[in-house]
Amino acid sequence: MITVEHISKHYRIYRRQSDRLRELVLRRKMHEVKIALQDIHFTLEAGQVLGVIGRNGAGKSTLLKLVMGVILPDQGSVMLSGRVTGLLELGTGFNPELTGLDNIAFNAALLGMTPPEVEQKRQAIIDFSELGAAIHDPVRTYSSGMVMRLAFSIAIHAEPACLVVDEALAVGDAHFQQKCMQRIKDFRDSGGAILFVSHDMNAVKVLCDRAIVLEEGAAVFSGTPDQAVNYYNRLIADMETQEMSLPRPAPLSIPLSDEAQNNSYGTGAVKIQGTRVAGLISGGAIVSSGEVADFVFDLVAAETVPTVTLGIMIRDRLGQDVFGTNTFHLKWPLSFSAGERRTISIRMAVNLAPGQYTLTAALHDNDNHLTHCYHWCDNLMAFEVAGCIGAQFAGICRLEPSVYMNDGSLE
Amino acid sequence: MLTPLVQILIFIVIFGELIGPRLPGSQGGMYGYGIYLVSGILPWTAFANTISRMTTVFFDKRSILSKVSLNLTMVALHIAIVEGITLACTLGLFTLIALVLRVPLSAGLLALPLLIVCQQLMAFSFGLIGAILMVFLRDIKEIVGVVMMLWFWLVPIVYTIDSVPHIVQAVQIYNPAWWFVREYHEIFLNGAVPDAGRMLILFAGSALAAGLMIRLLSYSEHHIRDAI
Repeated sequence: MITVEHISKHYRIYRRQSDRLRELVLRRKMHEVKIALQDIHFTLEAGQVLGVIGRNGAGKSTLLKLVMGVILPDQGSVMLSGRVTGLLELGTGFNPELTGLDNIAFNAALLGMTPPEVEQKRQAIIDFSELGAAIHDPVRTYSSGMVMRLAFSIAIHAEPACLVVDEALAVGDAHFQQKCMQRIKDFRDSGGAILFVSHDMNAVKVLCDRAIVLEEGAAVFSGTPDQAVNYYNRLIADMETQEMSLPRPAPLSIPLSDEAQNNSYGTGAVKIQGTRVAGLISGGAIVSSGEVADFVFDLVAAETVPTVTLGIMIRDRLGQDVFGTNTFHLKWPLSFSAGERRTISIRMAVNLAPGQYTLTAALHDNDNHLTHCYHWCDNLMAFEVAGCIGAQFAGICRLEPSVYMNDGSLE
Repeated sequence: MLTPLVQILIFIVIFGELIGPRLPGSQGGMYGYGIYLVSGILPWTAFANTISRMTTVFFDKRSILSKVSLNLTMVALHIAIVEGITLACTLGLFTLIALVLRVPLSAGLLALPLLIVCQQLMAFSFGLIGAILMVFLRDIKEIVGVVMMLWFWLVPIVYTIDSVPHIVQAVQIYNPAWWFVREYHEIFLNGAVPDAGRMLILFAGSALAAGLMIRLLSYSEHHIRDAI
């Protein structure tokens, strides 16, 4: 379906656009070379989904553009069989003055559909997009969600051999996102190939058969989605430790207003200096549901404090408290002498539904922070649960069910 | 269709009838100058529109070109074709008006389609130069505008070739626009059939130029796609 053979892409960075021309004429080097992709090699067969993950600027979009054919590689080649449709920045080809109906014809033609094909698919496109009567209105009157629905609907109905998906599903309501996801799965099951680029690690784990990790233009890892996500996490973790080695602003004893970044207060007698979440399998802050993870805190005491309790609270992306505990309840009393440093880990199975979570931590006296609060850090760090170990489940927590049959034969 | 109709009538009536000079030795009858003017201005308008629209085509379509893989030649060519079809329609209208005005016409009309193809191939070649340059040099749009305005007055469209000094007449042989404007004058003003040899050279020259420009485009495609 798609064969990408050792492609490399170098961008020439010019200070001015006109330097390109000057270089052509004068034959003098006027540019600096930026390597966007280096020797990428993969094949994508029918019915396969290849995930591409990597940090911003790692070369993901360049790779997609090369596969789509909107830019040309410097070395190597991209071989395609069949039509490739991209969901790159959906709806950019729309003419806002035309009605949705006219834009279907226009956009479908851009994607390579013939007029009879458009005629035949038109109703299916309108039905899937759920635009109803609004299809007769100019696209400029649409909300961004409606534009996205129409664009996705056209792209998926173009019956491509290969679909290129790039963060396209970040817009739209939950209902339509799920519908799109289902449609993408159907597309895969019916033999379509998908190149899937996303920062949504859960989607990568759920949808992809294989994944590659891009880093500075090179494919540094290729393997199963789980391994790739773990590798990626370690990459990010490395980046974060590098940043942590820089002097961080000292936690203040005055409550900071709504500053989400440094929402900490307390007397400062004992402080949290650093924190990290490390899944025992993933090694990073993106863990699978059901994976055991260490929540590690670096603490330092400014004064001698005989009884200290470390408390944590995990909140979901809506800010709801999901789970909290502290060392007082866990019967692990702490005490600090002035200047003492300790690293405390709380180990637990992350039996949470996939999603984004934040960790809030506090150091206080006894079982609550009301009498003596040494240091309270709201939203200390974020972590993500992506994919799950064992059976899939719905809802917000993983309850590890098992099934028994009581049919009377035991009696 | 209404705008060209009004335009043609205005040129014929105002310039031909009211303030128009009489053309020496023309067979256009009393509408001579009007016919002369329109038969030059219509092809020129298509020619100039093609070049200026093509100059900005990659720039205008960059939102689509950076998302969907389209053939650059086709993206540019569609403008030349659309302008060519528009020209064919307005010339058809003009022919009807000329017939109503009893302007003597001949089988030379049959050469019109080939003439349109030739001039649009030529416009395509010039337009492609502009389009490629535009990618690297945004200001080229303004430069093209000025060049097209100057060029218009260098071609005997408003004035006749006999009314200018000999030196200007001699230079016209190097003016590609004159090559086709002259043939339109032949057809509509003199009711003549264009010379087959000249037409052949015109066609071969334009086709060759267009071919060369397409080669140049594919040579610079890499840079163009990177830059937009």
